[in-house]
Amino acid sequence: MTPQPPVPHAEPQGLAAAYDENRSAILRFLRARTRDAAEAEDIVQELWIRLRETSSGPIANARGYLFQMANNLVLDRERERRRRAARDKSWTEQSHTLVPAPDNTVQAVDPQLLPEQALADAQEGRRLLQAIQALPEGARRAFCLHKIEGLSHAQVAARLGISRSGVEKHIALAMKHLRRALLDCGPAGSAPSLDTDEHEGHD
Amino acid sequence: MTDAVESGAQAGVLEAALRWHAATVNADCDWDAFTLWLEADPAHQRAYAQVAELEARLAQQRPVLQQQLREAPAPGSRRWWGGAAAAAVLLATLFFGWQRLPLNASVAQDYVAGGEALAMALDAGVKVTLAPGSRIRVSGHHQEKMDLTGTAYFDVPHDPGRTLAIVAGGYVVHDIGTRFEISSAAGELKLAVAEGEAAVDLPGAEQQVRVAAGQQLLVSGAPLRAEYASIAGDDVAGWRAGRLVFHNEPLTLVAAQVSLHAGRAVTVDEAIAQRRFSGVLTVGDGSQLAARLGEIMGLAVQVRGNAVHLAAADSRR
Repeated sequence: MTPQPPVPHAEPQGLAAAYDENRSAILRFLRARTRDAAEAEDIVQELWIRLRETSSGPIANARGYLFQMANNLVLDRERERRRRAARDKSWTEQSHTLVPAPDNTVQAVDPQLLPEQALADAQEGRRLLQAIQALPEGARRAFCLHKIEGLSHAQVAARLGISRSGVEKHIALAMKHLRRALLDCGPAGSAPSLDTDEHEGHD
Repeated sequence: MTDAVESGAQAGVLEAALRWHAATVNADCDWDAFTLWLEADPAHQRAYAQVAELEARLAQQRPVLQQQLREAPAPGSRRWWGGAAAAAVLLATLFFGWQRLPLNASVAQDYVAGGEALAMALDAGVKVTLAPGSRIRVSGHHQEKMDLTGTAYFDVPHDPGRTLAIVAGGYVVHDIGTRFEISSAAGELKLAVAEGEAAVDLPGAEQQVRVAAGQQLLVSGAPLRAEYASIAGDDVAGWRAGRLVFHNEPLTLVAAQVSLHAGRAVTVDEAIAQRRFSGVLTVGDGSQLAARLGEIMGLAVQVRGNAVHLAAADSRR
């Protein structure tokens, strides 16, 4: 689950009221975000159910909080879809994971011990690591400081002695490379494969 | 925020999507402006969806990436060691790269084994034997972090207060006291335990994968596979006694180990990369290893300069 923003006090009516007030704006956002009217309806319903289950209350920005929750629900669904697609694709191969040796020394791996998701994640980690290491020097430094070590753009700019917009350009370049490395050959092609500002979709 | 985002949109859809992603981390984001931006062009929505997905996957891998990127030398700095194969080299480098915050700064040492195995004694009675052609970077205040390229044998006295973390083949092996061998090739790992127990982190896994005495774990292939086999204690790091013992290992990992002892690159044709090999090879002076492997497996052995390429016998390439 995508972590939800912390909500300190219990007063469900506050968020419920904000929901009623902003439902159509949130729905419009979800339509734009998913480009799928039915999916947007589903998610706005799910948001309502979540709200009823959460003991949450007066927060500084109830409206923003609801949008954020809605956005996170989209992310969760996308991730779940991606995982399901990856599972479907690798099922055949995974079911033949163990190749017994002639002397029968190979033992079965407890499937609980090595969930295929963990293996897929490990694979993805390696791909990411390779892609990061293959980045152009400047982009790699800026990317690692910002995305891996968590420095702000301003801190990265100071550390590398370049402008903030220089940092942004480096990071955009890095993300472009990583997108290619990860999404274009990602599990089951489950990710959106359109390269928005270069070649258009290839499937 | 909105102005900044709009000027970003002119600079590039991806840059704008990155800015919006950063903005949505705050509840105070201008959600209506974000909605308008998403509606303006299907390309905006696609770019944002990709950025959001990429960020989510990065976030999930971040702890492991952080460790691996800190330990791994920056690309390009690897070049120096390619020519250093002749003798064992010991280099102490101040491990204070740009990626390290000052508090974490510590001295890292690189050990490289040339044509012969290199036995090393580290802090707290930890003994490491590097196979020929292998390299290890040791860091941490108690020499508890290692980054291995190639093959090594570890003998670690039990000390509940200290855990070794050894990065190899892109995986992290943990150990508190045992004797074991790690062999690694690009993305592949063999962990064979003679005594005690060791564990491997697979990024994103709920728990570590444990390997007990008398077991070996192989991690290889695409999609990734992990499998256990039994192994006799004497066969763990058998190269210390002049033999290489393989239990059902993928040919690429076998070739990586053979390369170390042969002192030249042994490559495997992609078509047969996932074939398995079980058997014992006598190391000798290393020069016959690749030919012997090819002979046993019925492969074509092609000598290409100083490298040896193994291919299917009917391969005409």
